[in-house]
Amino acid sequence: MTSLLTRKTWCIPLFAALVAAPAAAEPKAPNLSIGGYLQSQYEEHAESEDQLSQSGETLNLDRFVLRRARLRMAADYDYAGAYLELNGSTSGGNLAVDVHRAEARLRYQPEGEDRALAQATLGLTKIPFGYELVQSSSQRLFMERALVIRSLFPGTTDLGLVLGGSYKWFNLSLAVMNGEPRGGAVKFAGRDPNQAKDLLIRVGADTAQLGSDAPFSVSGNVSVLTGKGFSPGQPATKARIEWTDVNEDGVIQGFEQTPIPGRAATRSQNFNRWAVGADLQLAYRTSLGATRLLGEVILAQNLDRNLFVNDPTLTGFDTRQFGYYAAIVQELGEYAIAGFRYDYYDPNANSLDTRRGAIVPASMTIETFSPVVGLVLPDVASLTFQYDFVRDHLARDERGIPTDLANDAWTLRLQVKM
Amino acid sequence: MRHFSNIRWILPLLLLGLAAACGEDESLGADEPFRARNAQFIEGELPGAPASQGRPAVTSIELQNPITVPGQAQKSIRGRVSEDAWSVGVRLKDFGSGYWVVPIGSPEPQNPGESVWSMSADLSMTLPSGPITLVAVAFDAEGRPGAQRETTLCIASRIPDNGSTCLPGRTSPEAVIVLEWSADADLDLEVLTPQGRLITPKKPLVNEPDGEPGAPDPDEARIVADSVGACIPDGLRQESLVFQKRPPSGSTFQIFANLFSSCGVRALSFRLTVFEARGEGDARRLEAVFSRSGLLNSEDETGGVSTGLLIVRDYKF
Repeated sequence: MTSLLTRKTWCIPLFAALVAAPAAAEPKAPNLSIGGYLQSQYEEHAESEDQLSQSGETLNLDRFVLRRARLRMAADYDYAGAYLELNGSTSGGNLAVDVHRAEARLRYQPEGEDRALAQATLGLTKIPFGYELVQSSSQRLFMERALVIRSLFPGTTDLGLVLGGSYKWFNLSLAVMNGEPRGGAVKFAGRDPNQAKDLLIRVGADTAQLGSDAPFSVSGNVSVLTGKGFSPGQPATKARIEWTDVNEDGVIQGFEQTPIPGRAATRSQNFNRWAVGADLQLAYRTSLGATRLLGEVILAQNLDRNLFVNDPTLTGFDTRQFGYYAAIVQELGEYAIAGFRYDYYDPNANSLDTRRGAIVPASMTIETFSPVVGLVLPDVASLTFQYDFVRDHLARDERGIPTDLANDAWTLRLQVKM
Repeated sequence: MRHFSNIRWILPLLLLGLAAACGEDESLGADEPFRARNAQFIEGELPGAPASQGRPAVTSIELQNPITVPGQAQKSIRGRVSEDAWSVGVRLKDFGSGYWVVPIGSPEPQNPGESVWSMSADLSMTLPSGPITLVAVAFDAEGRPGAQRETTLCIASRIPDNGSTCLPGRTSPEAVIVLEWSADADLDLEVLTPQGRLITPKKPLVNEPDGEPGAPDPDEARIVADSVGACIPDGLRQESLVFQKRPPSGSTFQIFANLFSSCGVRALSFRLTVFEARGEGDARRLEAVFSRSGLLNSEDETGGVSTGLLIVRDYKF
């Protein structure tokens, strides 16, 4: 009876408040918007094999792929907003649908301005670093982001708080994030295994924001990231006996049995990681269409979380990454487009190889030359074809010296806006 | 209208690029019957002059054991090369579509002027049993091959044959009943003997044990192995009933395939084969004399409470 009375004491006023609320202050209706896009493609990779890997994954990569099916919903009020973006894809194997972005925003946008002077975004949001990482995949002509960006940032979104804003041509973003974007070798996406957060600063300028009709525009950013990576320890193990078929006769003999004692758990450790980047975009409009020159360069340490995953606590030394790309995109009238991107990534500036028993410096650089052509239905759809000439050091020649692996790829993609 | 004219050359360019991209891919060797770990696969015949005195030279090929079990993983192959070698290419003669290259290692102090090389190789279960020739060649700093060097390894039979395939002095069993299947499910070969004894991998002896302590007679007919037992994959998916001595003439056996556990597999196919020894002396070999195949799905799993699917009602020796 006591608990019932207690409940009544707060239930009754709450119910009364809810009933009375519409009369007291009618909530303002939000500006609702819904949209998205769909990217379906066929791709072929020279390294495809009709086999399964040891872990059961298909080695064949020649296939039809639902690359991105994005559904965007936004509700905007005067000083607040909510944004939700869902993503469906088969690029990771089975069809997966997940939340790509989920942002709660507070902002101040002066009347007559089309950008927020100040904004705070909390939730699963874009990682503010560089140009391609922030740019929507629907706006990018090239199929995927440059390799250096995909390696350092296996996912484009992360959980965190982003503060920022724009004033005339000036843009600023300041972010504190978990540092666990979903994708690649990131094990704790959606969580954070350490208390340290990644701090990101992105400062930029864009003359197009001035709203002039000048045919030439320039934009660019400088970005910084600093944070701590996580090297997971190992759980404790039980003792066991291991059999090694030393004489390869398929029969267990006494000398082939090795006791493996139980091991204590090892502790997890954090390590420092950082990145600095700069990007520049130039655009010039002629009667043929817009010409855009794009470039971005990134230097990082211990940040590869996808291709050659770094763990300096194991190796005992820091690994330095360096990468950049330069691209040109040319509109050819209203219905055609072409482009070319050169993409360079060095995942480890200090890599070594053995040659005739001696340790020698070796290059791990990967270069990608990507010509692309496409047909465009303005603001509706595009059909694009891209060939990636990949030049790396992942194979060996007859002398045993690292050489280029046959792993060129091409993609035919149809993108339609929703 | 001028803008549309651009499509006239973009479209052929797009189609041309597509056609050019549809070329033949190079293999990385994942489907090869002989695969070397941490080595580079190169398609084509192994270069080098067969058995001549060219340089650089493979001065030795060493196998830990010249006999290999079928489907053996991580078989150690190593040897030495002359000092002008940079790498070694290895392939199986008459099998596969290319060869594997490994860089050579350190100089060998016990053999001055020579360096060591080694590789760890996986041999496919699809390779036939019997002797196979392994060929190696060394490459110099310019990638030029030297002389080929050969050695022989023998792949033991998948059918339990007492090692007679690789060791000619051994005699094969008189008969073997083999059940093999296509997926990692715990399928058991079960046989009902003329005496009414149901033998299984858990009760493998054809004759009732006499109660005496110690190992049973090695010539006692029995089922060998409990493949994929407890759903642990073993790469074999095969169980065999081995008769070292021929069963009495006219004796009949009932043969079952018992799906103890599907291990999460939806369906599997199986094949039962009976082998009997034919020929005389060293030429005496096991030959397939009877075969039957079928399908099972997860609804057929018994958990051991029944005998499973009857494959052969009366197999008569």
